[in-house]
Amino acid sequence: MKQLSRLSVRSALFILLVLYTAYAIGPLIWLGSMSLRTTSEIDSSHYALPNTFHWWKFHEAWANSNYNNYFWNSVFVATTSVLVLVVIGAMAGYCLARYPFRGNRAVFFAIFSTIMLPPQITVISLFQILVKYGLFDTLTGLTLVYIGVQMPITLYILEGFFKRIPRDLFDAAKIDGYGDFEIFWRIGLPIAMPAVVTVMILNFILLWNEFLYAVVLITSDEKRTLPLGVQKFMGDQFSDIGMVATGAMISIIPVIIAYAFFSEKIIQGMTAGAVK
Amino acid sequence: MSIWYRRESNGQWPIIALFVGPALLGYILLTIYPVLLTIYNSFFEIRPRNAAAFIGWKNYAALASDRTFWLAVRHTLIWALVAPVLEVVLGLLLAVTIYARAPLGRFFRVAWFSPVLISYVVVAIMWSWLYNYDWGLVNAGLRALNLEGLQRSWLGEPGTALWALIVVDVWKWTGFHLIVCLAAVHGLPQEVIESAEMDNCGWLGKIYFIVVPMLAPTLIGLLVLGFVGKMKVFDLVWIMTQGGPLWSTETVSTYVYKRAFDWNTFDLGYPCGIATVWFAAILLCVILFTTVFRQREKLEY
Amino acid sequence: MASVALENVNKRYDKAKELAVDSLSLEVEDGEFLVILGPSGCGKSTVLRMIAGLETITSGTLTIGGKLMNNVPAKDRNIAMVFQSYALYPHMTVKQNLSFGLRRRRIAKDEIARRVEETSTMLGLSELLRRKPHALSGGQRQRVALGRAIVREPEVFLFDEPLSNLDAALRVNTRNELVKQHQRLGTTMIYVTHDQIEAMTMGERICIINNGRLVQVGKPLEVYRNPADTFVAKFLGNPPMNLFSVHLAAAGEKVSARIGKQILDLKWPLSELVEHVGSTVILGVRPEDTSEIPPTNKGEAASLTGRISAIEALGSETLVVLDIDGVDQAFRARLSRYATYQLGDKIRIYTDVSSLHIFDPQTSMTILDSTISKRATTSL
Ligand SMILES: Nc1ncnc2c1ncn2[C@@H]1O[C@H](COP(=O)(O)OP(=O)(O)OP(=O)(O)O)[C@@H](O)[C@H]1O
Ligand SMILES: [Mg+2]
Repeated sequence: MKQLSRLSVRSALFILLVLYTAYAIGPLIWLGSMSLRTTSEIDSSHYALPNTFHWWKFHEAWANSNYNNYFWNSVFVATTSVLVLVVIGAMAGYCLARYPFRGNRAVFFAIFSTIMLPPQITVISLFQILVKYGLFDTLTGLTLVYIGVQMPITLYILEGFFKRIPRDLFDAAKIDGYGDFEIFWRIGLPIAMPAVVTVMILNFILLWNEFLYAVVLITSDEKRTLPLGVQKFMGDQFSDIGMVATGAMISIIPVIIAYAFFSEKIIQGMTAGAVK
Repeated sequence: MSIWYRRESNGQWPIIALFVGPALLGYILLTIYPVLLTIYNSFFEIRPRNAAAFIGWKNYAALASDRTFWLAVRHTLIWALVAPVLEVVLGLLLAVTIYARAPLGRFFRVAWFSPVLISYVVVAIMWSWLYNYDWGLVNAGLRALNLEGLQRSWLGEPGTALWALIVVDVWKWTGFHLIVCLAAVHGLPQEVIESAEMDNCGWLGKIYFIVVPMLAPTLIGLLVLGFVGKMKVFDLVWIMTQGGPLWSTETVSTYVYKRAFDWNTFDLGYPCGIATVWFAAILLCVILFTTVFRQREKLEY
Repeated sequence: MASVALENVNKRYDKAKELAVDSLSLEVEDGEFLVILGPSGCGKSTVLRMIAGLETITSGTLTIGGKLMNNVPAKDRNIAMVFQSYALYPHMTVKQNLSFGLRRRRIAKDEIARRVEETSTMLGLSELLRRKPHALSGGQRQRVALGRAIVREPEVFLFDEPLSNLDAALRVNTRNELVKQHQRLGTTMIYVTHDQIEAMTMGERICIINNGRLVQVGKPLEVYRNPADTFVAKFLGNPPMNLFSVHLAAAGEKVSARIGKQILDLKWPLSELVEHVGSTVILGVRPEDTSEIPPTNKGEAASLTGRISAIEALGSETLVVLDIDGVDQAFRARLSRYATYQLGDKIRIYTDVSSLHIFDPQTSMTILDSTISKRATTSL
């Protein structure tokens, strides 16, 4: 009897789990299926699965709706920012974790606290500044802004990791004859690789999805990043649901791929601040 | 014999400057300078091709009587207060349920967390379809339940639009809170939860009397995190409703954007004023929270 | 190879109120094996790290091989150090760990290969060269750490408690291994430990530090036999020396000590202690200098009685704890394994007066140092 009620509780729990999972990823699967169906197919039945997979739609969106352009713009902006961020952030994080100089904590908290700044407080001025220096509506300008935006979280994660590396390792390298920069390069950075990778993926995803700064700082079509491109396509081709879905899919596929390979790292990175 | 004694950090300054310099420079140029410039601009009327005209506190005075601004504040506060609570409560309930030894694998974790990673643009498009009057899943579901009377244009009516957006926000972020709560619940000592089982206090009682107090720091951290995050909400609103219909989903962020770049008012001073006020409000809230909960270092984006 | 000399070295950490090392002067001869011994937190590591160049010297001078080293950065001192945590680079293989320091010093490739080969063979690491540190046992890691120092062929070796993470059996083996390496290399070695057995068995000289100050330097047995003060007396020896206050009185031409109601006949010439007669001093008796059997040479023995409050029969010997009237701490005695006593037994124990120690209660320094050391050397 007890066994039976146990079993029923467990299956109830399992059903709840499945329901929640369906709720969480159902819309995504729906979007995925729409991206492979034509609009007329969708109009006849909105929630059916694809009978024939219209892969050509991806090619169509890619080639004829400028998605290749948006895609490469996003790749450029996100990759450049991520690389610059990780270099600058790792150097600063390493230094703040390892050198107890006067003002160390002040610098750390000054940079870290900007994590809570509302974007509006900077976005209007950044617009003005970029216009002034001819960087408005350029990918370089957007990249610079992204570097500034993601610096606090990058520094926070990397500094925390460098702090946990035992001091003896660095001392051993000093005794082995290495200077400050070489120790960073040959000891600190390789050991911090897990955190470096986490930060890189995290920044990549957040910047890949970024919308507010992009919508303010980019105006011309050939400079648009994917989120802007998708939004514009939605505005222009409102009724062509099938193609909108295909475009949206193109914009999330890289994230899904990254997530498939690094899910644990991404989850850890995103929740790093909250769990502690 | 004269010896020069090296101080601890003497001679390290060049290295320190080299390491921290780039980050600090970026921080000053891309964060501090724009923030100060925004605050400075808020005392000016700035129109293209005209010199900025100093107008003192006028922008702030105008703000006080700007009905749209106060509407935006109201909506943002509702959002920032309701959404985190819903997300955390839902996340916690699910976490405790799942913790009760239901089969659980990597797949589920990955699935629940995935909405967090989808860009707002895609989320917005997906959900405006789900809210579609004719074929959206929400109305289709109501029809299937024979509740045709409840059907409505969820994003099109001032009465429901804000709540419809909040639901989307909850959908996107519950997974995040769920994962964090799950980690925290797993961190609780096993005996505590088991002894509560012996005491036969009910399932909800267990959560309320045992789990919530023990997870209080995490939960408060999540709530504060959520609150600060929602105070900045922009993407979802801008893409789904642009603040409409009839200002019913206007938030501070969208209003700043509209005044700066969308309406052809051509004045950047006034939105700077709004941004400054809002920045001060968030700062105040954070200081308040941190002193009240003494939750140092727990506020991330 | 080089000598190392510290002169009036002080160390104050940033923001610290007290000195971590307080006017320390110490000379380590070329090729010597010196052990620095002291309790936890006394500043041993700080001394070693200053020699290595990992900490700045607040004041005083450090010379290595006669050259002033105060402001020479660690990387330019030809020194190798083995850390308590081993500090193996986790992302490098054993081979890379061994050669890391050599590569920086621009030593020819085949020379590096030769030295790595030689060292790894000698330490039995040849099979492990391709492994990373996480795939090694504690003992193997320790040997890699040692090897990393040896391949460098430095002028001075520094060891900071390198054995404390090993289990007991391994520790004994490694101890012998280290001594053998020292004999083979003949390089100056400075070895920090808080383990007195390591200090006694390995050191050519030991240097005892307490609260950042040097207390005593000397050959291990010298220090053991003639502790300079009550700290050393207590710190060296296990179980530690019994220390208790006694009142000195003259008994004819000799001196005697009063403990509670008992009189301990010290049989020392009055002349040696004349200024302390009539006052209180601290008397020290090592447990191993006591015996339940009266010595054959009665003239030199003193005795005390006490009640047994605890017995530990270890097989090879029997340790007893005695309550003695007038002594507030427990008195430990180390008796022969044939001693068969019951708890509560009242027994008399004997000790040779030449093995007694007397300390000044104010300064806690030894009195009669020279006399005793003379006796000690004659009886050696
Ligand atoms: N970086 C530091 N900053 C401030 N004080 C320090 C620092 N390192 C050590 N100290 C202090 O200096 C004193 C000596 O420390 P040290 O590490 O030299 O002791 P130790 O003898 O090596 O102890 P142990 O046997 O535990 O390793 C201690 O009181 C310690 O707290
Ligand atoms: Mg130490």
